[in-house]
Amino acid sequence: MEIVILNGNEAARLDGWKDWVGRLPRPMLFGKRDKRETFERQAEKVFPSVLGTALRLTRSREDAEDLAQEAIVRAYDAFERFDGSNFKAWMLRIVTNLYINKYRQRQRGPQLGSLEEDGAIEPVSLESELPDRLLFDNVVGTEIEEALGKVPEDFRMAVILSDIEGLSYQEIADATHVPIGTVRSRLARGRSMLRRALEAYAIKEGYLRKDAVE
Amino acid sequence: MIEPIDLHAFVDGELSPVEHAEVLKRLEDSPQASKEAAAIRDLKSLTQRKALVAPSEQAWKSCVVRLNEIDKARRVESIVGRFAPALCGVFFIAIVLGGLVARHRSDQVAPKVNIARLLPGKSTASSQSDQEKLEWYKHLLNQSKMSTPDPLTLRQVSICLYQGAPVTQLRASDGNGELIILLIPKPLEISDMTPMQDHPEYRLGRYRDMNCISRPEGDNTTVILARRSYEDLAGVMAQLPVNMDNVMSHIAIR
Repeated sequence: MEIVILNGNEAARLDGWKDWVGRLPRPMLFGKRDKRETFERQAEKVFPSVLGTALRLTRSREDAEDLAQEAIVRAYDAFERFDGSNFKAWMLRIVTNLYINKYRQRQRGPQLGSLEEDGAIEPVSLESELPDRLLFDNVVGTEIEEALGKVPEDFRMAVILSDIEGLSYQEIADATHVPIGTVRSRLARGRSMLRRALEAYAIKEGYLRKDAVE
Repeated sequence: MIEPIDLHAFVDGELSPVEHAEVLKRLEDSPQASKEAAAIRDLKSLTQRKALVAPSEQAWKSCVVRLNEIDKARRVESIVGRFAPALCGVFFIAIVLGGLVARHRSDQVAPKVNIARLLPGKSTASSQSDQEKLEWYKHLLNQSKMSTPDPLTLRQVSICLYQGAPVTQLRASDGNGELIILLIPKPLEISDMTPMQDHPEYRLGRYRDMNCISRPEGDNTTVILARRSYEDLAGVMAQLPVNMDNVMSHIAIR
C-alpha cells in the first residue's frame, strides 16, 4: 500500500472536495441498484408504522393494505426527492396525504368528521387520586384501538401521528397540511376524547369505578 | 393558570426553552396542573405501549413484488428509450425489405383481377404493336380455312390492355352458341373463382349471366365465358392449347 503525505494546500483542497461531495443531495449519488436497495432497506423498517397508520385511518385491512402499498410505490417513485432527514415522517406524510386525497372521499357510512376545533378542551386527568397508568393498567391493545376508532378522524390522525408514531408537531403539520396551532389543539382535544372513550371501557370492565370520574 | 394546549405541548417537548421553563415553574405552584400533566403523560405512554402492531410481513412481500414489477418496467422502458433510434432503423429496414419481398413475390404469384376489367369496352388497344396484331387476327379471320370436329368459328377479334399487357378477346361460336375467349399473356388469378372439383387446374366462376372458366398455365391465362354449363366450358377449354397462336390454329377462321 502506498502512503501519500499531502502538504497543507493539497489537504485543504481535498477537504474542500469532500465538503463539496458532502453538500451534494444524497440521492444524486445513488445508482439504480443502490436506490432500490437503500429504499427497500429503509421502507421495510418503517413499513409496520405505515401499515398501522393506514389501518387506523381506514379502519379496514383491505383498504389499509392498498393504501400502504400505494404509499410505498409513490415513495419509491419520489425517493430521489427525499431530503434524507426523517424517512419515517416522510413515509407517514405520503400515507396521510394519500388517505386525505383519495381514501377519505370514498369512505362509506357517516363521517365522524371534525368537531368544532376551537371548542373547550376538557382536562385529561381524573378526579381520582390514583395515577392513570394504574387505572388503565388492565386496558388491552384492542381496547385502545377501539377507543381510537371513536375519536373523530382529524383528531385521531393527530393522536396517531404524535403518540403512536412519535412525529413532531411540525412533521404532523406537514403531513396533514394544517398550521402547528391546529395540530396542538387537535392533539389536546383528541387525547381528551380518547381518554373519555377509555374511561368508558375501564368502567365497563370494572377497572374504574364510575364515581371516580364524576 | 396554564392553558391546556400548552400543557400538552409541554408534555410533548414542543415548547421553546423559555416557555418550557415558565410552564415548569407554574407546575410547581399548581398541584392540579401537575396532575393534569401526569395524566397526559400516562395516556400518551399507554397509547404508545398498548397500540397493536399489525402483522405486516405479507403486505410487505406484496410491496416488494410491486417494486420488482416497477423496476422491470423501468428496465424495459430504459432499453427501449436507449435503443429507440436503432429500433426505428431496424423496423424501417424490415418494412422496406418486406415491401421488396412482397413486390418480388407479386411478380411470381398471379395477381387477383376482376374479370370485368378484361372484357371489351373497359379498355382499348393503344400501342402500335396491338393494332398490328389486331390487323393480323383480322387477316387470319379472312384467310384461314382450318376447322376441328366441333369447330369454333371466330367472329370477332379485339385487343384491350390490362396493366400494359395486350388481352386478346375472341368472340367465337360453336354448335352450342356464342363464347368469349380471353387470351392473357400473363399469369392471372381472377377473383371470386373456385377450383373445379374434377379438374383443379380449372377455376370456375360467374360474370353477370355467364359462366366463366379460367386456366392459368405458365405465362398465359385463358378465360372462357358463355351462357352454358361448366362441363361444356371445360370441354372447350380442353381443346385449346396454352399458346395464343396455337389457339388461333384451333379456331376455324371464317
